[in-house]
Formats: sequence, structure tokens, C-alpha cells
Amino acid sequence: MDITLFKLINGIPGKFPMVGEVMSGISNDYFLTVIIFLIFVVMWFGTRDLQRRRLSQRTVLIALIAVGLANAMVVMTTAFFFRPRPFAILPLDQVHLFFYKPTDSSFPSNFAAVVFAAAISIFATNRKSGIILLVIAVIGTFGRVLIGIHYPTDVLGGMAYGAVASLFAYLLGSIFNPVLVLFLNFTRKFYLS
Amino acid sequence: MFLKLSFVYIILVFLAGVGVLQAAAAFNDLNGLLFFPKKMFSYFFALVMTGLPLAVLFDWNWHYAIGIIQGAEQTELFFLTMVLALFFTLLVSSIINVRRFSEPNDNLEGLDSLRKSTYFQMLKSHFRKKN
Repeated sequence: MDITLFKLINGIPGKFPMVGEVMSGISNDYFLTVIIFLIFVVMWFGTRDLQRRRLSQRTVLIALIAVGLANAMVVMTTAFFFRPRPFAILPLDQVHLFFYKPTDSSFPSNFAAVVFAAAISIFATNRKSGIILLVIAVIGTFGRVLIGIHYPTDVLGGMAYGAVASLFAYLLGSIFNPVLVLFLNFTRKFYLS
Repeated sequence: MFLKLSFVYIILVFLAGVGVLQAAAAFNDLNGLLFFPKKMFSYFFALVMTGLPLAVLFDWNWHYAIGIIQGAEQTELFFLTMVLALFFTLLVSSIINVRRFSEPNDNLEGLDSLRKSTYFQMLKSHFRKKN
């Protein structure tokens, strides 16, 4: 099932090579993650109303915790579990590879974990920015399968890791809310929030 | 290879970060953070400064087919570079706008105080009050 779905999605650039070229730019390791982090900067500095800004900044802090947790969860998993990439298993004439050949574990997708941790954390409190981030995350993770470096279950696993990380970050944010408030007050005292 | 990739990544994030900070400051009327007196210039500057690095990042795999900055390292590098971009913005905007805003505005607090004062003016006023 996983391989069939992989072949179906990865077969798209076989028919339309341009799609593969474009998606390899969108879904590479840097482009979308930098855009997502830059959106955090806009949320921190670009909100006019004080109350909304405080909420945005708290949300950004929780999203950062979620990204950190998602990274840690992926590192811990891949220390004990290794799944070869599709191009390492399937015959090369059945894989349309639009990327370099990563050597780390295919499962879970670190990219999917990070972008979904960020998107879900933001979506929990800011629907507008959250929807933008979720759309970015869905396109990016779909692209990872399309360009031939992940199976669909890898990115689904990554999404689940991201969701769990954002839930934990939300809980941590509630438990340690006084620490977040202290940090925001400190930065406000020095004209940075 | 990692050092070279990291260096390129830092430069790109720094440029994009400075650009995004200018756009956010212009949108939020944080005049003390702007490099240009007219908002239009700030938005144009932000567009160029953010657009070019993003175009290079989009093209990354064609330039650097080998090597990767892992997720956790990428996150660390991004935030260290953003801190640098922020300090650069605070420094340059404070120097450029020193004559534009003569007195620090004590009626506003936090980030809002940068609407009518530069960062260094506010910092100076903050420590003067303490002493």
C-alpha cells in the first residue's frame, strides 16, 4: 500500500518533469523551513495591537518549544530505528529522484515533523497564520514524496510527531506559563516585545 | 563541507532576517527600527533583501548537491543568525535615526516605544532612570 501510493505520487513528475523540478525547490531542506521561521519573526514584531501581540509572541515561544521537541523526538527515534529511503530499495527505473540522496533514516520525516509542529502550534491560537502555515506544511510534505525521498508513511509519521510535539509544547506552555510571562516581560522591559 | 554550507546558510538567513524585520517594523509603525524615512523604501528594501535569499534557498539543491545541515543544527543556526540580524537592525537604525528623533518617548512601553525613538535612545533613557 505504502509503496503503491509512493509510486502513484512519485509518478507525477514522470509525466510532468517540471512539477518535480519546482517541488524539489519548494520541498528542499531549507526553503519552507526558513519561510516558516520568518513568519515567526513577522508575528513577533509585526502585530500592532498590544494584547494580540502578547498572544502572538506567546504562541511563537510555544511553537519554538514544539519545533525543539519535534527535532528531539526524531533524533531519538532514528538513533534506534532505520528505514532505508525509497531510492535505496526500489529499482532505480521506478523512482523519479529530484534530490540528492540523503543517507539518514527515511522514517520519520524530520521535515514533516518540524513544519507540522510549527503549523499546529500556531494554528491553535492564530487561525489566520495557522492556516497559511498548514497549507505550506501540506504542500511541502507532499512534495517530499513527490521528489522521491520519502514514503507516504514517513511523512504521515512526521506529521504525527509534529502534532504530538505541539501538544506537549502546549501543555508545557500551560504548566510553565509564569516562565513565558517572565521572559516576555523581560524582553518588553528592554523594548523587544 | 558543513562549514561552507553553514556559512552560506547564515548569510542568506541574515539578509532575509534584516529584510523581514524592516517589513514588520514598517507595518507596525516602529519608525525607530527603520533604515529609511519613507515606508515605501522600507517595503522595497524588505522585498529585495528577503526575495533574493529565498530564491537562492529555492535553488539550493542545484548549487549544493552534496551535504546537508541537519534539522536541529538548522534551527540553532537560524535563531543565532536572527539574533545577529536583530542586533544589526537595532544598531544601524539607531545610528541612522539619531537626528530624526531628538528625545526618547517615555510615554510608550516595550516595542511600542520604538515608534518615536531609536533603540539606543530608549536604552540610554532606561539606564539614566535607573541611576
